[in-house]
Amino acid sequence: MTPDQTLAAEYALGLLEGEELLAARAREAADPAFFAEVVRWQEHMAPLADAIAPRTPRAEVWQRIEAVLAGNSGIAEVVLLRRSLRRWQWAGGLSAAAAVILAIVAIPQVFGPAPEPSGITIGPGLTQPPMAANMPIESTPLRLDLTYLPDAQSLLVGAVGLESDGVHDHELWFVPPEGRPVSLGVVTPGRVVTHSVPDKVARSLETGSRLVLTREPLGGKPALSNAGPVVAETRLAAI
Amino acid sequence: MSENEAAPIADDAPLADSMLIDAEREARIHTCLDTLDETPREAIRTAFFEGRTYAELSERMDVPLGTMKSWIRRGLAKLRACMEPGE
Repeated sequence: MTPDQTLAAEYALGLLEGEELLAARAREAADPAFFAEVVRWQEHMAPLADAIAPRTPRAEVWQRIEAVLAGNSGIAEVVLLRRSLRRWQWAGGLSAAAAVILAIVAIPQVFGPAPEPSGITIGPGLTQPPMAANMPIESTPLRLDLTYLPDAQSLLVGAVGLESDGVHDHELWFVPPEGRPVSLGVVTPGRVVTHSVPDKVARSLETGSRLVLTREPLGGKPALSNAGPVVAETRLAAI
Repeated sequence: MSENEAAPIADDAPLADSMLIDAEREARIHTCLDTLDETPREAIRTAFFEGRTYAELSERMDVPLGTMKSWIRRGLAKLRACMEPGE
């Protein structure tokens, strides 16, 4: 196999983490051949999932859920969510464990007084489901990966592959249905960065909320100027 | 259409040949996994079924990360050759 084919297989199988995972994800978005290879592996492996009988999640699954809900960092939540989501997407026969992880993260209140393994308490973690959006950037193969964690009021902005031209920065805005756009900060090229979201924006963000990206001078929109041209836009969706 | 003639009804059951293809495809991943040595096979199955990463697998099986990667990569190459003969 070529190194690319190997990477695609590792990515499809969920073996990667950290930098490698981010790099593979950016490749998947930007490179059709790589994307096709990933899909091919998913199709090869998918029939395995059909063979799983429904079963009770292992105690360890509860511990991992609890660790996530107790939540030390937003990144961990997103990585685990993404991983669960990918498992969710494998063909039809999804494992009970993945279903439980998703259900708990998305709608924890359903579980209210449900039986918990002794010694494990559900932390103060998530009460609202995260939202996400991809923002493809006009006339480039690049995109921003946006994930919003309502409880942390954090927007994770992944700009992997984006490079600074040394003259411009890109600024992200929330465009409310009425009123003026609110800045969510200047994008850091090539990195995944957590942006904290102002209270009034946090109260308004919901599925379908519109986000736009403008091109600005270095440092973002100058206080007294109008915003620069819109180069990308997207809407948030629940995940 | 005459009154006596039955209206055509779509048969939405899967076509026999597509069922065969599914069955073949399914059999193939199992057959191909069985051609691997036990260690890479178990590592790949665990990665798939439990969503484990390289780092988690190497910790669990108590081998260095590099070793785990080379086991799995060799396994994946063999799996691919078996799934797609002629490439």
